Amino acid sequence: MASSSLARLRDIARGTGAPAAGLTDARGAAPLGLPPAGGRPELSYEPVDDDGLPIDPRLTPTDGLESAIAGARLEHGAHGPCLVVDHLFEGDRSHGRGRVDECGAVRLDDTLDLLAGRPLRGTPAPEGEPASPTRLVYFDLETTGLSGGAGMVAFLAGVGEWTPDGFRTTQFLLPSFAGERAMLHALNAYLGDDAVLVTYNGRTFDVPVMELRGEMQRVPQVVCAMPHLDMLHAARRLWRMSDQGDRSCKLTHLEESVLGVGRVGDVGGFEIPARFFQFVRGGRADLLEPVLLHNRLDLLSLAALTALAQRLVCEGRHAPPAGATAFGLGALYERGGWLEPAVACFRAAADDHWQTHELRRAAARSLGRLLRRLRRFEEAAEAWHMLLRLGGRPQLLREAREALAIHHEHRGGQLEEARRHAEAGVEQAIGRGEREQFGRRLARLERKLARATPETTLWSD
Amino acid sequence: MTGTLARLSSNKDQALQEALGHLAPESRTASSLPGIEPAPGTHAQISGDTIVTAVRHIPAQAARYAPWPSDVDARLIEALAARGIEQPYTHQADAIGHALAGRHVVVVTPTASGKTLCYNGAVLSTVLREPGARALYLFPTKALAQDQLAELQGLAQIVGAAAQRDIGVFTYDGDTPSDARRAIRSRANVVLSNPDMLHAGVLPHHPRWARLFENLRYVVIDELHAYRGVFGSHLANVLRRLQRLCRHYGSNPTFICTSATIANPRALAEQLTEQPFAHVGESGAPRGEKFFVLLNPPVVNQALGIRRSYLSEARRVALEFMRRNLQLIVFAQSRLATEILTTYLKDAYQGPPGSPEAVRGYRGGYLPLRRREIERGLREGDVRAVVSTNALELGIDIGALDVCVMAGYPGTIASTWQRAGRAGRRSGRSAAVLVASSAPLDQFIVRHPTYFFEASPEHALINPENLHVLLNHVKCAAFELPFQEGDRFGRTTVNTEEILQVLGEEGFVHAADGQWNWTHESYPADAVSLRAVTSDNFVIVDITEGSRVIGETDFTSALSTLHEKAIYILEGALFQVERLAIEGRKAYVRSVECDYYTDAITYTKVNELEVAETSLGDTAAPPDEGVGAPPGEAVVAPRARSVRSHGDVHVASRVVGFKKIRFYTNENVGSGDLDLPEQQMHTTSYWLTVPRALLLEVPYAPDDRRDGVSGLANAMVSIAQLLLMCDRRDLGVSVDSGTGEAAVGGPPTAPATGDADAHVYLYDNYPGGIGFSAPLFRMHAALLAQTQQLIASCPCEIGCPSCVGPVGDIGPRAKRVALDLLARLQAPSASTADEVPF
Repeated sequence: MASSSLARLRDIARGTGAPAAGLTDARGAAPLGLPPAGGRPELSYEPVDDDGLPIDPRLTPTDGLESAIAGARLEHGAHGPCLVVDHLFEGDRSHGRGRVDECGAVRLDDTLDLLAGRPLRGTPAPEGEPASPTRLVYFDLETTGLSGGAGMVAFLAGVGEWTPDGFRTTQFLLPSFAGERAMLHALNAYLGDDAVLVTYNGRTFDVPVMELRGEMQRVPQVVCAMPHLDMLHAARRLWRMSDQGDRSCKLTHLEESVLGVGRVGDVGGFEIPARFFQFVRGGRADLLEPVLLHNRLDLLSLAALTALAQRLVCEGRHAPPAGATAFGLGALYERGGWLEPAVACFRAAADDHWQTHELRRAAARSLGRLLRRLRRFEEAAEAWHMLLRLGGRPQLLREAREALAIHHEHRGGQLEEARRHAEAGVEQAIGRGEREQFGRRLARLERKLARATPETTLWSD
Repeated sequence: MTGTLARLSSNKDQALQEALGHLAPESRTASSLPGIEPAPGTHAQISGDTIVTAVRHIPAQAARYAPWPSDVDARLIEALAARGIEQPYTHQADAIGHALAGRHVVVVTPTASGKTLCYNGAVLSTVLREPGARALYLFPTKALAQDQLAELQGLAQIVGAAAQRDIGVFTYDGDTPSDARRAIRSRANVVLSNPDMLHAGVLPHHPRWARLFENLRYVVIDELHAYRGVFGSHLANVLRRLQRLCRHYGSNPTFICTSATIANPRALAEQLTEQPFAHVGESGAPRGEKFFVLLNPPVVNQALGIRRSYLSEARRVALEFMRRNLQLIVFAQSRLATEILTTYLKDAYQGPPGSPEAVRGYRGGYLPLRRREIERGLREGDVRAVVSTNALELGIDIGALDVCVMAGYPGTIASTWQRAGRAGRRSGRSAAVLVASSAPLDQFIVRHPTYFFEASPEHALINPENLHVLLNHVKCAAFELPFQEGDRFGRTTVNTEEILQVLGEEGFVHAADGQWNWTHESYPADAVSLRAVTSDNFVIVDITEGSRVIGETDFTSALSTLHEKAIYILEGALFQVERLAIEGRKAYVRSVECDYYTDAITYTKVNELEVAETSLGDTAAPPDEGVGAPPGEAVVAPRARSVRSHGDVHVASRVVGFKKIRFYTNENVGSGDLDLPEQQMHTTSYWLTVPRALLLEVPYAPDDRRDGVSGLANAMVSIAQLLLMCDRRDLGVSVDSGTGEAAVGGPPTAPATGDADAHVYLYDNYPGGIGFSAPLFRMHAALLAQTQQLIASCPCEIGCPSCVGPVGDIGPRAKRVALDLLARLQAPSASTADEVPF
């Protein structure tokens, strides 16, 4: 009886127990190859050795891990031992097209605030000593999934930091589920209260995950309270429109196109949870070596990318860079309120005949809007004219038509010109609301024109 | 002012009286309707095949008040007095008293008896005393939570103002914007949500809700009776997870449940929560007198047993009331019937030009704004009549109406009373009219008014130990918090360690350091839908112009409703299925104009896997032997002829073809063959065995014997539905007429030669079963007796849709054979099997 109930449970757990989803071919043959509810085949996490044979968990004791993993040491804190892996990337080694020591050039100044879109150092207190951060730490997690929720664990927290010797990474690894509290305490102790956090997509992923783990284990995490530069948002602005980036601006993608780093044999993101599960189920510790390396490279690339972005920002405030980056840089300056460099960058991008029309149009539009905001109307009109010359889909052009119609009607006093744009606007309008809006403008212009030149009306009659 | 009101209400009473007098068209005076002034609490049954078959007079009841329980906060009492509530009704005082004393309580009182104060009173009083206290309210639908929000917020504001602090009341559901969620998590004293959100949105993220769980004092479950079958089985497991987390956070909430009248509210509450409950069942709320009328449309074809359309009859009845300016609600059985009746009433009743629309439809699928507008119109009196599906059965506030007309029997006694309760003021008269359709169940009810009026309402059954359901929730629980070795999941009777072991083998969890940790990348709650056993569904894509998704259908019914050439109906618009992509779970449909719909022909074969109990049918037991009777206690009559069993079965069904059926006339205008994959399921079943010997005794040809068994099955499933509290779709039926081949709804199979025993299977139509089989097994005697009553009392000659099934499908002698079989099955046998007269 017991064995039959176990068999029944197995059938149900595997989804083969002919539940509602159990369909067989009409002729009663084998079940159709239906995907499980998750939508893709599930990996098996049974530990196997190199020959694919199952490993007896009793053969690989979990203690002695520090000797199984290069650079690992066991740190004994008040809350239990924690596995820490140290690694140094020497400054004189290369990372893609650059050198590791370029990471050391990142400074905590207003250009970094610009990248973050907010002041990172807090407002300097008038009296007393300002608790101003002095260190930059790069932070990246590896987790047991992407779903979120109480059952998803951050099993590896990597922290990178520039030291005089080079780029040093300190990785906190969970040796078993029971060690999470110790790991969270050790991480808190390491980070301290004087650092700025730099992440890639940490605002929506890494920090909330740490917050949840902290709440779960009742160890509030200092990462949640640290000043935070999420490089994803800056990177998106800088490289989204360029041929180097793509729309998603994934770190691995930018690393290759912007930094020129090519990874060989890197572990795929989907494989990472599987390797950890295999490890906790008694697999060998070296299963995690590729994951540790992956995490280190992510940290190093994040630092290199931050350094590059800061260099672009510094150089671009005096002269716009060549190429597609100018537009992205303009957007960054505009967000940070550095308006003159922004105008220069937008103008450079819009004028750059080597760039795609799409990018130039976007730059011209941003330029037009910014100049209008600055009340430099004549220059703005030029930008709108440039947008019209670049052509494109009607949706893009009608903003220019409207802006020009307003400009000529109210500021230039050139009613004929305004009417020309309003007429074109009516044609390019999409949807009734827009058409009516242009129509009203056109009607008003017609009335004004009729009043301004009564003799013409008489004469044409 | 009061004089005017009194006159108005007495005018209304008179109008109601007049309308009731006109319900039977052949009698134009009220006096010819003998049931109109019967003694209170009785009903008059009108003999013969008349139109009005019974009238029940329910007398008025005065309010009964009780003092506030001593530990209710004075500021709450003051605030309620400001709202016109000076004293609680007896049931409110009882419920609040139990809850404040920390006893779990279930309140069972009729609609509009002030149920919400039972829990709001206890919760607000506690929040006033302990500002950190939290409460979680669960409603079966989002709309109900929204409906409660305004009232509770109003009350909380007054109470909060008196106590000079903010009492946070928020809904938390799929519509809650993500930026508001953080505030709700930290600030809400009362969170109004639904089980689905609790399951997929709250429990898996419990660390974010730590403050709620640490301070959770009350869990309110409103409309408890809605949680039966699969939904209830899931909720029981969600509550196991909830209580597991509460223990982790050190809280021990008190449950307050409210329910409509069902037979076992306390047992249901105890099964859902695994906690002992106090029961409050006597309503102290006042109510006016009420008339309950059962009405059967006249027969228009005696031979075929065809009656006048119940929708036309419902229209006539509704208009009698509307004409006299009475406000009413009409309940229809389907979305289609709702739309048809709305059209009928709109055509017949047009208010003065420019006035707001007096007749409205209401059903799922209407946008929330439109629904709110109709609800408001009903409360304010602008809407004079609303035609609704069961969407308005639950406690949405629509004010108190004068009349409720039910077009078709709602399927359960509990649901009928619940719907009837939507009409009825605290003073003055009201009426409820049930217009029967020709379905067997409807006909049984109107022809046996005593049964209907005297019977206890149905039992709500759940099966939290359904392995499919249980396994999924153990996964979710392991995700939320590691199981410690030796932990038991709630009070499940299934070995938790075994489940974890199997989940471990499949890589979902891993045991180490004395606990089972979740070791999978998935988010298990996403894969579990509380409203079905599997969350797998088909989407319906309209490709008439471009392609857009217009609907969805659960996996189980997809093959029979979305096969190629099937007609799919949405809001009265017809679509034909062009292609069914089974792997992609999509049905591509195109808009068509046609005058027929399709009905799939399904072959179902049941294999017995494991018999849990079997015994000779007990004819000696009283006919009202119910679920409550413990199994095996009934005395088995030594020579009873039928054999009853229940246990695990394997059901394989295949859609082999379909019929085209013309609207209105229901003629069969064509058919087609289909070649679709077989669907299989492991479930539980009750079955009746007709022994081979008995089958051979029946003096009819083998073909007729087969028809008789099929007819018997058709009638039995209707009665089974009546005895259990279940939806028609919850129960599958399959017949094995002694040929080894089982089919239902299909063309005739091999004749019943009597080579083997015949079987009638009534199985739980969900993988794993939801707990109908054992109760049916226990109700075997009642099931057969009432099936016999249903068939015997049907006025048709040779069988009709109201008893054994339409003659065209079932054969001309089915009714006679079925009755013969029933007589033999129930009679103690005089002869032994050896004395077969063949």
